[in-house]
Amino acid sequence: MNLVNISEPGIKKSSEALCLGIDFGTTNSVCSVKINKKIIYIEDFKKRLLPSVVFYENQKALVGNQIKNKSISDLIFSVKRFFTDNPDQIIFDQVSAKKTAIDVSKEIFSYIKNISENFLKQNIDDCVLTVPAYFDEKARSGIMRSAFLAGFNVRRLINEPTAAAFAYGLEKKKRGLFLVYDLGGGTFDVSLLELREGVFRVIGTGGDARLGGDDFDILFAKSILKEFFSTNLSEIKNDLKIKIVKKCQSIKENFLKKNKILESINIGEEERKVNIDKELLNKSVEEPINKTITIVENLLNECNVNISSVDGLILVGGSTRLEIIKNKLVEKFNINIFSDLDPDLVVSCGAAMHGYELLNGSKNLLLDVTPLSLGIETMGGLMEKIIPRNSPIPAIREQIFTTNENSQTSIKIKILQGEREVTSANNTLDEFVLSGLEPKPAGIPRIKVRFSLDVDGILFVSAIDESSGKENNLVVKTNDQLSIQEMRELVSSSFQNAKKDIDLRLLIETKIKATKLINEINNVKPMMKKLCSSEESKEINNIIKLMKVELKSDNKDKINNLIDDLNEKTKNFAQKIIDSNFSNFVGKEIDTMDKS
Amino acid sequence: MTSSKNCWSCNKTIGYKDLVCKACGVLQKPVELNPFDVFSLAKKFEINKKILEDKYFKLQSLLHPDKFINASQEEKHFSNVHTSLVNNAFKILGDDVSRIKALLEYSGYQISENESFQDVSVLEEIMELQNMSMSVESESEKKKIQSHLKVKIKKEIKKISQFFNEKKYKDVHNSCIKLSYLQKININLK
Ligand SMILES: [Zn+2]
Repeated sequence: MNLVNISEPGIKKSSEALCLGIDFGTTNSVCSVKINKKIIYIEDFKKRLLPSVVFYENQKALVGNQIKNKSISDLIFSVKRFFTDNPDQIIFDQVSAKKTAIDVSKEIFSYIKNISENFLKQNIDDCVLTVPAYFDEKARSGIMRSAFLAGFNVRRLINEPTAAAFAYGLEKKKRGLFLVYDLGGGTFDVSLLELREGVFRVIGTGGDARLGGDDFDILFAKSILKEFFSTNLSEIKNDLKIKIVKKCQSIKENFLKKNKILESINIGEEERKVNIDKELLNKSVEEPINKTITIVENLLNECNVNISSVDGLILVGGSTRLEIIKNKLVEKFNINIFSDLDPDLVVSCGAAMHGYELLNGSKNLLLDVTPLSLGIETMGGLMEKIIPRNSPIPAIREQIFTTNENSQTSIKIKILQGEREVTSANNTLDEFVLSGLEPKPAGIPRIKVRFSLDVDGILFVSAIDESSGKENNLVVKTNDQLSIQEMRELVSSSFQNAKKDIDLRLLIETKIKATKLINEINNVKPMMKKLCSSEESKEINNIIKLMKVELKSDNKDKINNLIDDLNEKTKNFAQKIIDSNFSNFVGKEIDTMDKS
Repeated sequence: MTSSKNCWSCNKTIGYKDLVCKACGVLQKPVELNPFDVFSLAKKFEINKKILEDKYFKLQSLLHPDKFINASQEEKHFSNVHTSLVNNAFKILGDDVSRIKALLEYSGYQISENESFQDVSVLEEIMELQNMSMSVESESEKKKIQSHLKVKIKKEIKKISQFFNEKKYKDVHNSCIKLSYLQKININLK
């Protein structure tokens, strides 16, 4: 690829295993690798920051600094923001193509892989990927799937502030208790870590997955429009709005050097030169900054740590360059602030260091925690926490639940993540039905629910009816994407070819999805007779037959269409299964079985 | 208790509690252990947190999934389970109330589900502290209650230690309930 500029040609060949450290950011992404004891940043058109922007041109995706002279409104920005909402939602919808957040991110990951391979002059699949500490499990697995589809073998998912602290620990030999204040384009994280010789341990973490530097730009734009044009930003057409916000972003960056800026701003009907004072910027971002400070205070409280015993605060993320942030933190906490490692690059750097140690061995230990509590819904729509937030990972916990109605033969298990007591205020990760319980009086069955949260922060849930020994009878599972477990098996085991071939990965994913769907329907066949008309049953069976034929072929699109058909046809039925006779709630907990 | 087992990988006879096979170096299947046994610590109430922490890090360095990145699926799985068990045991031993409960359980004392106060005067004492902590108005008032609580917690821990020595498990349990309330009030004060 002649588009790529190689800054350091002729890298020495060595026996060390290479592993990319990828910081996939809301605004910019950074990729680096440790070679010959040095961290080298993979450059995109001579730039270390690769804008996380995608542009589709006749099916082909342009990414990052490749994009030149395109209308701003045709670009896809901030795709990472969609992951906390739903990574599978369509975010690009045109006649030519429909793309989900995962698809769009996949383009960025593919591009990163491509420029890295061009630079290193070798194939590279291994990477350590960073995510905001406060990302929930859906967002984490979404990012992982996206990188997987781009051909990566994600060796670890680590939290951004943890990666940064690791870099400070190794590079700057920092030892003691440190806060990492990480303000990215779209997310805010704070972590409290203990750094000692050979052990880098996260004690607790807090944050807001929807608060970032991008919000500062919008707030600043609002203030400017109000101050100089007496206009609301919301009254401005979308295209122009993006332009104005981008302009305000660059003004914000210029305030790093100046206190007053004369700038001409165009709001459609009028263009005017305005003289902006730095105070206006400071005032407009005060509220979200105060919010981050409250989050830091809450974390310290929760960890039972007094600020006076903290040795320093590390600033991470491009947005922390704003002077007012540093000032406010010093004013509030009276603490030493460190930003000597580039806040834009330090996360990727830490990830590359960790990736290197993972593959080549090391005495260092990186211990992290889960940011959000995990549990299930119990009677009355309340959340029963099984793994509380700030538990060290990996974590396996089991708890016994029972039924609350006589002769109940199935229960619905709703998996939740969050800190609130009421289910509806938390994030529902998944739901499944455990059926085929032996009918018994209420309170007698013992259903063991096991939560296993692995070191990447990915959750696996299983349930066993202890009396029948029936395990994992997952009859209806709402989430039918390729599961992380299957994905990992693909990468590590027999499908060696799939490592290379993206199309093959997509085909395998589709086939797994289809097979799973057929199995799920087969499992509930007895109920189909009761809940569906014979017409409906016939249609469903026909599609399954067609699907089985197509599964022998390699026609991904056809299989996908059949999956859509089948999902559509079984939608009513699936809802009926969930609604019908079954009591919706798992009964009250009867005892706790923390394995120790 | 069995004192030996066979390595799942090379089938050589090794110690029951061995984490790694001495012959082939492969990580062994986790066995169910009491939290004290996880760290090879004496089963008593008093604990040296520094030693516990050192042992925790040592076990983590041996068992953590990061150390098994290129290992077989089995070893990866075992590493995940081992590390979780170590994490849970560390949490239990690091916290006074859960360590007391683990010790009571080990001593064969049945902990009833009902965690209420046997003694009305204790209940009244807790209620009063609770009310005081809820109506705190100034920082100095808060500090006063905090130091008051600190003394009470210390006193209760001393009592518990003594009850354990005298094998008065019922008294241990009652004091432990009181201790857990005192700690809750203390945390909520912040
Ligand atoms: Zn062996």
